Amino acid sequence: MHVSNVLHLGVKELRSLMRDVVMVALVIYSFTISVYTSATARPETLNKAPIAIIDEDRSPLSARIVDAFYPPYFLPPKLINQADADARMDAGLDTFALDIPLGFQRDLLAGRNAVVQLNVDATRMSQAFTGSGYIQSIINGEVNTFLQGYRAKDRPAVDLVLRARFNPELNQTWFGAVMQIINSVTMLSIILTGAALIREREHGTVEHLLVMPVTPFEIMVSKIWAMAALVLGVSLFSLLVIVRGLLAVPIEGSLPLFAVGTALHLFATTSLGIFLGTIARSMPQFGLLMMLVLLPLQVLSGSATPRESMPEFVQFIMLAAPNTHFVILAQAILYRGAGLAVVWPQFISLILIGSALFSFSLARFRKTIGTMA
Amino acid sequence: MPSRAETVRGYVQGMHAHWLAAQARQVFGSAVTGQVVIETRFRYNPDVKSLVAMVPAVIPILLMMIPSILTALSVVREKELGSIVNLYVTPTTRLEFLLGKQISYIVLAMINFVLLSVLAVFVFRVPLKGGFLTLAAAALLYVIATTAMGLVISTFTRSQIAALFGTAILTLVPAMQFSGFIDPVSSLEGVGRVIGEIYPTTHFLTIARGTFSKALNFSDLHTSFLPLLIAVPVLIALSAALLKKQEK
Repeated sequence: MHVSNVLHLGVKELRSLMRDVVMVALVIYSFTISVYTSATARPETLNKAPIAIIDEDRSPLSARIVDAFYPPYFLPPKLINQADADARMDAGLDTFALDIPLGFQRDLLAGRNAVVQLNVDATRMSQAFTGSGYIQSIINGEVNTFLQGYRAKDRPAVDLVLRARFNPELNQTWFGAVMQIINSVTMLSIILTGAALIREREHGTVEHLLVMPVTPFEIMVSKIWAMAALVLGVSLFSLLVIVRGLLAVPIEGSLPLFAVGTALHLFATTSLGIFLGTIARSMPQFGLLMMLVLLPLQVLSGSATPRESMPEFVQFIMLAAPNTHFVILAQAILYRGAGLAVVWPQFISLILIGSALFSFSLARFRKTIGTMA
Repeated sequence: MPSRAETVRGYVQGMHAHWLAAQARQVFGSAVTGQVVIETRFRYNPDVKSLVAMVPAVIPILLMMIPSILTALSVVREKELGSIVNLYVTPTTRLEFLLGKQISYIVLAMINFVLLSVLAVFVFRVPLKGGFLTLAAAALLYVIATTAMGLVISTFTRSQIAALFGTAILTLVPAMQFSGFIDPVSSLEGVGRVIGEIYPTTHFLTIARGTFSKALNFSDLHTSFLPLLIAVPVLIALSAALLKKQEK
C-alpha cells in the first residue's frame, strides 16, 4: 500500500464532491439550518397541547379549572358543547377533551366524590401520555385549593423532591440538536461513500482506477478517509458553532474524545456505505437499499426512543449496529461529561464493528470491482 | 432524553401519592372523601397499543420518501448519463416530459400503498375502521404530490448523489418532525409550524389516522383533502417552470 496513492485518491474524491455545488449546499444545510430548525421546532415535552373543555357545571370551581390551562403547556382551552366534542377530536383539532359534569362543585362541597371525564386522542402517543398526567395534577391542584379556600400550604407528611440531572429543565433543544447531528453523520457518511462508488460505476470511471497501479484496498481506504474527514469536519463545526454557539447548549465533556468516537463511528458507517455500493447496481437501487438500512439504524439506535424500552431481542440485535454505540457515547460524553474510563466499551465495540464491516466490504469490493467497469 | 425523564417523573409521583394514600388509609382507617376522580378514556386506541398508533402514521412517511426519491433520481439520472438530450432535441414539452416520468412512479407508489395497507391490516392486525376508498383517494392525491416534490428537487440538482441526499433530507426531516408524526402541528413553533401547516404529509397523516383509527369517511375528512388538491398543481407547475428545456 502506498500512502501517497491513498492521499491523492482521497483528494480526488473531495474535489469531485466540491465541484457539485448543490451537494455542498445540501451538506451545509443539513448541518446548520436543519439542525437549528429541528432543535428549536421540537417542542418541550408538553407544549401548546390543544385542549377543549365541556363545562356543564358552570360553577366557580369549573371556571377555575378552565383558567388553569394556559400556555406554554396548553393552548387556551376551547369551550365547546358535548355535540361538538367528537367531531373536533375526529378532525384532530383537540388532543384532550375534558368533560366537567353538572353538579361537580355541589358534589365536592358535600364531601362526595365527583367524577370528570378526560378524553384523550390516543393516536398522538407522546402528547397523550404526558398530557394526561399534567391535566390530572392541574385538576387536583385546583380542586384542593378551592376546597381549602386558599392555596395549599400544608405539605404531605412525606414530601417528594425530584431532581433532573444533566438537563435540569428537561430542555428538548439540548437533546434534539445533538441527536440531529448524529443522524446526519450516519446518513451522510453512508450516502457519500456508497453513492461515490455507484457514480464511478455508472460513469465508467472505475475503469480508470483499474488501469492505474492502485490496489482495491487503496481505492477503498481513500474513499473512506476522504468522506469520513469531510463528515467529521462539518459535524464538529456544527457542534461548536450551531449547537454550542447559536443554540447555547452546554457541552460537558471533552470534544477531542468525542471527535475520536465520531471518527470510529465513521470508519464503520463509511465501510457500510461501500458495502451497499457494491450490492446496488444503480443509484435508484442504492437509494432504496439505503432506506432499508438507514431507517432501522436511526429509529432503533436509541436516538429517538430509549433503548431500555425496546424488546430485549431488538436491543441485542442493535448491539451490532454502530449507531447504537455512537449514540451511547455521544450522550455520555456531551451531556454527562464522561471520560474514556466510562465510554471505553463503546470505543472497543465501534473498533470491532468497524473492522468487521471494513474487512467484509473489502472482500466484496475486491470481488466485484472487476465486474463494475 | 427529556421525554424519558418526564415519564419516569410521572410514575414516581404517582407511586409516591399512592403510597401516601395507602398509609393514610392504614393510619386513619377510612378513605379521604370529597375527592375528584378523573376518568381517562384513551379514544380510538383504548388498549394503547403502539402498533395501532404507529402503523397509520408510518404509511405516509414511506409514501413520502420512496416515491419522491425514485422520481427525483429518474430525472437526474438522465441528466447525469446524458440521455436528457432526448428532451433537448425533440419537440417534447417540459410538462409532457415531467408528467410522463411522474405517471409511472404514481402507479408504482399506488401499488406500494396497496401493499402497505394489506400489510397493516392482515399482518399487523391494525383495524381499518373507516372507508378504504377515502384512504385510497387521499393516497392517490398524496403520491401525486410526493412524486411532484421529487420532480421539483430534480430540477435544481445535477448529480444523483445530490438528488438522493437532497430528497432524503428535504422530505424525511419535515415528514418526521413537522407533520404531526410525533407532536401535533398545533404544538410546534416557528418555522417548523409553518412547514407543518402546508406540508402534504400533515394532511395525509390526518386522513390515514382518521380512516384507520377513527372510523371516518370522506364527509368528515374533506377539509384535509383541500391542501393536497392545492399542493399538486403548485408543485407540478413549479417543477415545469424550473426545468430547463435547453442546457446552458
